[in-house]
Amino acid sequence: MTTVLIADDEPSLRLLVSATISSDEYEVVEAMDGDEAWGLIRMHRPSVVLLDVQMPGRTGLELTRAIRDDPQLSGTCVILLTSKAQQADVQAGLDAGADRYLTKPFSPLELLRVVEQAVAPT
Amino acid sequence: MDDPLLQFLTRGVYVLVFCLTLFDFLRWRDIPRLEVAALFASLALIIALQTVADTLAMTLPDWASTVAVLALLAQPYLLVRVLGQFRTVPVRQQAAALVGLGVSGGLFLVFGSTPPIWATVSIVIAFTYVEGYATVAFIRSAFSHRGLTQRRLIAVALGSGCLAGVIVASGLATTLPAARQVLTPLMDVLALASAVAYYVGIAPPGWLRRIWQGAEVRRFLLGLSGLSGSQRVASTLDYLGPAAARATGGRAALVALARDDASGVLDVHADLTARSALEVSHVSTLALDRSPSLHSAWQQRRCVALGTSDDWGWELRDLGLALDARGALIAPLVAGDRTYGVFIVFVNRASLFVDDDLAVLAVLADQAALAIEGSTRLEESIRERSTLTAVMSSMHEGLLVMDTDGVVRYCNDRTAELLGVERSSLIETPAKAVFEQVGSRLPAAASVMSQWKRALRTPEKRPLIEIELTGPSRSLLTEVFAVLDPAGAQRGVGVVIHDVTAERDLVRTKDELVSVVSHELRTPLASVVGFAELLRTRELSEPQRQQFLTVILEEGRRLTALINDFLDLQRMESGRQEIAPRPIALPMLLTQCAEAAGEDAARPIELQLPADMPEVRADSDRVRQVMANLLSNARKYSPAGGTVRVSADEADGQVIVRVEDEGLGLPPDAVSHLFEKFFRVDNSDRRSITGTGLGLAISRKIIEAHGGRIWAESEGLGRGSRFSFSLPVADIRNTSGDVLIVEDDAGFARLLEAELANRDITAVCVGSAEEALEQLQHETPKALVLDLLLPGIQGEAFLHSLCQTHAWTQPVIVVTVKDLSQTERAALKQLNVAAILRKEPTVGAAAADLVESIVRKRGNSRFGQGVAA
Repeated sequence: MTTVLIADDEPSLRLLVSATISSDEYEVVEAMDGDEAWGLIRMHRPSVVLLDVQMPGRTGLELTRAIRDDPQLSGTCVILLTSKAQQADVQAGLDAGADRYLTKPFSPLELLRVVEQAVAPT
Repeated sequence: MDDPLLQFLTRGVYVLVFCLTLFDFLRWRDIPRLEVAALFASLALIIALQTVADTLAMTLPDWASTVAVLALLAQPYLLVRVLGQFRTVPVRQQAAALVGLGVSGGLFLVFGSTPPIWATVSIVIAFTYVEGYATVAFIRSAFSHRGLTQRRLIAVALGSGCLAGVIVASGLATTLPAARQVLTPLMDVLALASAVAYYVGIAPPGWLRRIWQGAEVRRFLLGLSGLSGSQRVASTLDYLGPAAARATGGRAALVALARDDASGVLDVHADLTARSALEVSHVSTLALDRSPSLHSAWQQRRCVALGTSDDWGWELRDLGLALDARGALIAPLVAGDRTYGVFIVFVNRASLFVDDDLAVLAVLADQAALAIEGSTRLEESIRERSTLTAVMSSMHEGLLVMDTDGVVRYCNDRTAELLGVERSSLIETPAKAVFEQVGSRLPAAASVMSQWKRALRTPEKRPLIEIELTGPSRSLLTEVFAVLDPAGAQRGVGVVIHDVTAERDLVRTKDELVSVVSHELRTPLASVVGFAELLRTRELSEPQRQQFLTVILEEGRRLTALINDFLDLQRMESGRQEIAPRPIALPMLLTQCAEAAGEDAARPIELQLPADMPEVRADSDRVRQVMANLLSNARKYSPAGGTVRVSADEADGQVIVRVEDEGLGLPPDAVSHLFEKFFRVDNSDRRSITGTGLGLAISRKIIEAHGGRIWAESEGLGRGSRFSFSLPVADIRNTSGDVLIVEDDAGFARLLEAELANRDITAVCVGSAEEALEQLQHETPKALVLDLLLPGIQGEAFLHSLCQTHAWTQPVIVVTVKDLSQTERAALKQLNVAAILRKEPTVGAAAADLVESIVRKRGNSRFGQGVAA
């Protein structure tokens, strides 16, 4: 069972991610802001974290840095969900150590594919 | 004549004068000079014969003596002829001179060299009379002349007087031999004096002329130097005229200045003494092509004397006639290579002595031209400077000019304003020190300086260098340019400063808005698209399908609401959304709003409305929108339930409506941002509460458009919130009155109404031109008080339509905060506006007084336009 965390302040988006990914292989943990996400990440050590860039508490970028700074979380794949297609934000995210990003609105199938790629053994 | 030396001298001088006048005549060959030469020939002849006789120790032959004596006897007559050149000799006197000559000549011819005593006396009397008359006439003439001519005329008068003295003494000596001892030396002295005086008067030596001219020029220059630095050409001209007239012995002098357009037309400038002549002659300009003499003086740049026989041109002639002058001296005013105009001195007549005056005038003209040039340049430069200063200080851009040492030489007021320093502290200050003054507000001073320097090296690019001032933040764009003199040498550096703060803020706001809107739209869109795709691609259970479809529907609605709100706000902000305020009864409206909010048992709405609420001026649909937003917020942010209280009360001409809840409350730092677009209180307790983030921003716009205010208060988190807004009370209106007040400022309208009521004048107040038109359908008031700045139709347009289509004839008093130009004022006066008052807190009483005076007049008599402005 692979754990995936979704952190977003929009309930409908959390529902979308969870509905898309939840299956026999994946367990989805939901967080409604950055602070809650950080607690859940430390607790569940998910393989993949999907982070909204703009959310209350810690932002997606801050969480990315925190994950990259924590040696215990070294294998975590970080995927940013951004509603701003602005290159500056994307670049900042990648610089902070994110592996990928998806721009809202995104296709759920695309999301699933990205998550599967992230957990696939390389 | 006994003293040989005196005798010799006397004879010598007379002969010299004769020779000089003869040469003068031979040179010019004109009648006046012939007459002068003849005058001295008469004296020279007898002297010559006498000298020959004395030298040869012989007695002159009779014919010679006769000729000599007859010539001498002709002297008074010839003197009168010469006198005629300076002043008009009455015919009587001319006849007397001629008769005198005839009588003395006849007596002499009859009696020869030894006439009887009565004949001698007759001859002496005739001679003396004419000579004496001439003397007096010369003296009077001298007083009517000035300058060199005056001096010379005095000398001539003196000569004639002395000569008359000689004749009288000689006559006395003949008749009274006893007195001869005394009379002989006197005669000698008088004879010499007369000779010398004639010499000085008729043919003054060059050095004497120079001394005299020098004195006149000195006096002229002394006066002129007192004017130096005079900023006005006119005051220089005022001096030049009389001074030149005085120096050259003219009646009056005019300065005629050429127009700048090279049209060949000169504008005549007359000082006070000559002004009447201009008025009499109706001459104010001189055309070069109409006066050959003027034209030649102008063209050849030389001084010209005009006599009666010259062609003056009618303009000059008329001026001459007006000044009773038969002569004129013209000197061009030349300085450098520019001829500024001409000096025209009008003289009694162009006398024999005119050359001296012309010589003086030439010198004066040169000096005058310099003075005019100076004054003109100064005046031009002052005018130019003041124009420039006006332009610079009216500029919206800042302008700063430094010399090559980097010291600020000029800057306009705007520069100081933009940099936030005193203008006086910038002038004469090195640029570095200027940057220091701006100091902490300009962190990148050094970089700016180096960018400026670089920009100066690439003048063709004209780069705009940005300066960001901090606290208060200001964005400036600077453009540097080299200040070059006409020769292309760099004299300094100029900096134009554009204030782009507003533009920058606008761009930032817009960028932010676009980013926020895109975020707000994408979020619900992500759900709609995502769930739709899941529905299409996955096998789902029925409950799941229902759940997803519900989300799609909700998010779709959210998108719609967002777009609607956003457009609504845009319309409000751009002023396209108009409100139509009407008097409305709030209690009913608020009750309807509460009902529209629907039932919610956990969050009941409680109304606390006083019974006697005044009406408010508001657009009911818009107020409903605000109330709907506030009530929905109150319920949304009371997740645990609680009563929502709606209350209202009146204070200071306003009704305040409050919506209180017992919900989540507000963090103190959020209160000031609540009414900003897309602001959401960021707290975990309200994460799940959705909204567009635009409701309060829209509400604020609506309330402000009504002239009200909206604000929020909270005791803190978890202690509920209170949202309040104010609306203006609708005027409690008379429907009929003496005066109609059209004024959207309810406070001022009521003040004026009260002032009028004190004066027993009733008034109807309306808040807009539209309402005024409606009111005018019912009733025509005696006067109208109008504010120009109104919601909807503006005051001016209202007045126009009133006068044009409603044939309005009643007086109007305009009370406005606007600064009206003269043109605007004049336009208003055309529209029955009897007075324009500036709206100030104290103007109420003054306006009421004015209205009273109008209404009373109107009441008593037929009203005219006689109201004081």
